[in-house]
Amino acid sequence: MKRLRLLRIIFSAAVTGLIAFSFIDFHEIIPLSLRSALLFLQPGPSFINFINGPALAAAGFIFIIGLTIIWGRLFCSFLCPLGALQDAASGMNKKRKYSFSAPWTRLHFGIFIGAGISILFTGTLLFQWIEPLSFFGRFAGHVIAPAAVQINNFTGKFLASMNIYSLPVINFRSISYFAFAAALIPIIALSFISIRYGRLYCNTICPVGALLALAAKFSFFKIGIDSEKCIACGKCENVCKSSCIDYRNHNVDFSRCVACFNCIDKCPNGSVSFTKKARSDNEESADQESVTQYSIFTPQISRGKFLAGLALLPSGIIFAGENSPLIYYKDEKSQVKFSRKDIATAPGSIDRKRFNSSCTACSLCISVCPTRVLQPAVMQYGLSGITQPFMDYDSGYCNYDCTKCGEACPTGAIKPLDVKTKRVTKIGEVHFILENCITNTDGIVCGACSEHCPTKAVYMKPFRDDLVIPDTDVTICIGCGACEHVCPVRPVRAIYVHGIRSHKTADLPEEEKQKVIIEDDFPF
Amino acid sequence: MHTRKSFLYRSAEKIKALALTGLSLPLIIKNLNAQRSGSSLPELVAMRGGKGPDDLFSRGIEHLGGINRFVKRGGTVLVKPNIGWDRTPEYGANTNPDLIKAIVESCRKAGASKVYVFDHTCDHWRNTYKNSGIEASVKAAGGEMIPANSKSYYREVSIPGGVTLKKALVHRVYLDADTVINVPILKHHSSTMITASMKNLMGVIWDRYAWHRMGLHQCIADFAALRKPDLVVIDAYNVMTRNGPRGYSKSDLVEYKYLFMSADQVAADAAGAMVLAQSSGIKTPRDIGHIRIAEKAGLGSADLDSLNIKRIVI
Repeated sequence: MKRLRLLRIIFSAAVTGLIAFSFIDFHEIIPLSLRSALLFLQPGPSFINFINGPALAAAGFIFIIGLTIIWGRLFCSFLCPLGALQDAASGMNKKRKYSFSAPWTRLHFGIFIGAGISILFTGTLLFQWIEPLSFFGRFAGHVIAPAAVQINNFTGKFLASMNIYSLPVINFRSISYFAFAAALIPIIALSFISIRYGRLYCNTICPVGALLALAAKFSFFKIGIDSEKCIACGKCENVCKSSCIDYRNHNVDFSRCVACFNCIDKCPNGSVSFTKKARSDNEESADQESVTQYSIFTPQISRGKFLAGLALLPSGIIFAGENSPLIYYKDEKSQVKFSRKDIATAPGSIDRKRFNSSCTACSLCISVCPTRVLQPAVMQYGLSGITQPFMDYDSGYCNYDCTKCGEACPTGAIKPLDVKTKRVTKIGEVHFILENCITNTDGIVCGACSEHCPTKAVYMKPFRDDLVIPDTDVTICIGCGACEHVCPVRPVRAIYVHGIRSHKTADLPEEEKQKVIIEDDFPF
Repeated sequence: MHTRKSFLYRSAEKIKALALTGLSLPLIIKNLNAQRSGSSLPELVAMRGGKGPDDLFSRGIEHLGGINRFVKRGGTVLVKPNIGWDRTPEYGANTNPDLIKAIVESCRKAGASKVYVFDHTCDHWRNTYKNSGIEASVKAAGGEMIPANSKSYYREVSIPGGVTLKKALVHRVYLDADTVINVPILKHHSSTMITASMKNLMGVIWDRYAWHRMGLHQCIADFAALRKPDLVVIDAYNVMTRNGPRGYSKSDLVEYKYLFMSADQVAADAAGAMVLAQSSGIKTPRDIGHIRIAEKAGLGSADLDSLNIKRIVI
């Protein structure tokens, strides 16, 4: 029984490590199946995915509820990365002695119901900020990943200078300061809470915690204190991060218990157990009166340790990406202005409104996008889409055959597409500005836009003086943004892509047969 | 009058002359060898048929004096394919991976210590390396697939005689390798009409888009003078005759089954131009800006009628 705690620590460290790695994995090492399995078990995104389209593949949260009904909130200590992060933070404060506190049930369920209602009316507007996987994912994706890239690139460049090319440098546009702050500040606040109050977040704010607390009320297995064996030393209560053990009354508020098994580990004579039978005698008497007298916090925070912990966070490191100097500046006054009608969303997001209300901004798609065209939004979507991904053609363009964002998305906000569908999924439409094109203004050959166009919606046609100039066929354009990305003209480009709010299906280009006579000899 | 000063001067001259002779000795021997093995060595080997471009390469390289003519034992080699696009081999947007495999293998057999392969790709490099099939080919053949996606791999050099292009950031391996083998695939190109060997060198420089605004043809021809590849092998087996350089579908391809090899990049490109002439308005190789400019600059010959061409049909 005592080994449960050790098992929990090892298991949780492994799961959290793998999930964090999934959000950082710039060398594309982690297999898709493993990543999907890990995310399948995250109730937050799984729930959103399920209400988007009920399916077995989206039923992970039901599995976790089932698990909770048998063994309690194992999820919170074994599978939740944000839980592990809080445990790591509170673990820095070893002297901290917890004592039983009254549950903030009303507040917690108020937030839970509020988040539920807000999903119905405004989608993930509120939910995305409190859902644990996304909370953790943003931190891993926007804070740890850029730091890891920088370490990788430093090492890679050093090795390359010695003609060792086995560690390639990773291209990233530059860190999004906004997303960095939006990810880091809540994590620092949460670390603060954990150091002082243990798993307070999980039992006061976390919507997954609230859902599982409900289920845990009915658990078959529970933590119980054997009142006959108990010597009332209070050690179990002192190590309870959820502050849910009341040793004097031999009572455990199991709905708040995150199944960390610290109490079992600490109990000197095995009177705390995790069994079906050993329920505490006074389980039903968890009335407010008897508990409030003990609900005084005695925070014993060590400032030095807290600061040391903060230093571990790669918070001070801010970098810029390697911008290739391809810019060709013209006098802005001589250029035709452009304003984008709409921002484009990732292929598979179907409709912008649906997307905004289903995305929890976990940042996984942004991390897996090989071309870095997906970037976290600041106010591109307005308030409802802060840090959600948008197609940033300044940063990259959507690869014609790539379907990675849809495969990664744990909430179904970006639906997985097969390659064939992806190739005709129209997320935007090209807009060419002849007046800004350098073939027109400077009379030179360029054609970078047409070169990169995968459907030849941008094609070259004859122009004055034997030159060729781009022209467009919007019916076959899918809005991948390659033309816009590579256009060398600035400050206003000569070619842009307008986003489309409701994605469409593009026409297929016509394929004429070629009439070429192949002779048996050489043409010279 | 013999003063100490003049003595020192003359000594210095003699040492210089000696050093120059010493340095150029291998070159002289190489030339002599080339002459001995016959002025019969063709300037261009044009091949057709066979089982694939790899088959044609293996059969044809002997006619240029064998791979040992180009690869030194213990030396380093850069094999530079066109891996511009994230497309699978059947679309003909990248050099045939089997051809790259055959070339890397033969370089290794000839005793090359390292055979590097890279391209500064247009699409995302990792996908492109993988989906082109070239990464796997290179690994299987004992070569080393190296990245080109970071400015840190490039070194700035000035371009001798550059008209438009005075300086460029060039991949270190292109500058430092003992042997460079340029292995482009022949394709139609929307802006430069054709892409073959000289155009393929845009994949060894960092700021390729700068060329788009400075004028592609002049930059391509200017850069070709920096370091002439030792050998050019043009994959013209499945030729993208329209919608190039990326192509849209397999219907953009014509199966011509050609392979051209030469130490003269202009001659090789001229042969490529004449293949594409059959499906476009090109009449002579000199209709292509960068071929015309490169020939004028004395980088090679586009005069296919006067070149010594070995034609092999299998």
